[in-house]
Amino acid sequence: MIWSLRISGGKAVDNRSESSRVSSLSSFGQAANGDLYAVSLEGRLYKLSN
Amino acid sequence: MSPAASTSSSAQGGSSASPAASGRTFLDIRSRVESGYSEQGLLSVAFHPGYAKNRLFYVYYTNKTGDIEIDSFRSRSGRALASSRKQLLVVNHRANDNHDGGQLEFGPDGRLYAGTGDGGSGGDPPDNSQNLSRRLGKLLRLNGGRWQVYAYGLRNPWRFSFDRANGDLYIGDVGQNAWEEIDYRPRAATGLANFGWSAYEGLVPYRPSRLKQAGTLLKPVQVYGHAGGNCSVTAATSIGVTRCRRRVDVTSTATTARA
Repeated sequence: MIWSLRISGGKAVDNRSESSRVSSLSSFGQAANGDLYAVSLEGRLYKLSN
Repeated sequence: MSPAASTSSSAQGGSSASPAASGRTFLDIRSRVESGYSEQGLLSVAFHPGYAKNRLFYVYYTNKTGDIEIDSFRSRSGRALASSRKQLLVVNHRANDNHDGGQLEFGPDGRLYAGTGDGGSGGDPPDNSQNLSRRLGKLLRLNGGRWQVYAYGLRNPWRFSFDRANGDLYIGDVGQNAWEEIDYRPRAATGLANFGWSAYEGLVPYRPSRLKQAGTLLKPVQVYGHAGGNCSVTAATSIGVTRCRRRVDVTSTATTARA
């Protein structure tokens, strides 16, 4: 499962579960342009897209 | 999410895919890496901010003796040069095979940061994390060739990141039995940070008498319980924290993930 939150005034707000799913997620990564990736221990690399 | 083909990723057994889209192996250090237990292995690869020119990158892994090791390498023509390896850190971790930490990141100050676990077992029996003289349960910073304790009181910060826009720090710290936590420290904060473990698990006292007073105690900005609510399906573990501001939809927030 992927959850998201953001920081406002030093506190976490908008904590919520996202619809994206990555099985056996082991890490996020970012490209130089800010694109967000996720990797799975099952061997796949994912890119988050709109 | 959809599967993608390129960027750099590391395989737990110790090889690493190419940062280019060629698909060929960029680095192979399987002979150096212990990955017999699920928390061990090649855990992180970080590229120097000047990598385009200096071809310098860093790896964090569990070495064959079970210790935490950080090495640097250089690459040439899209492949790592095995002969360029320099050992930058070894932390004794032979007592247990869990809580190896694993994240390497360059901070907004251009320095390299590493997250180490508390040494493993459960409940941090040797009280490593609150002990500032030990390099376990810490966020370490490489400064002028020396590792400093940048933050302490961590249990297994195997994924953390800096906000690419403002340099704020986010850490996903794996909980003991009840509480996973997200730690946050704005870039403007100064001095040593204590994230509480093993005096606290999340917001709850765990071994409160262990709490050290050095620096500032920072409680998590978000905790996730194992029982009930959102985490009842599986044992929850915080495994990553990152931020993405580029998009305006749901991804323009701090993103945490658990499995």
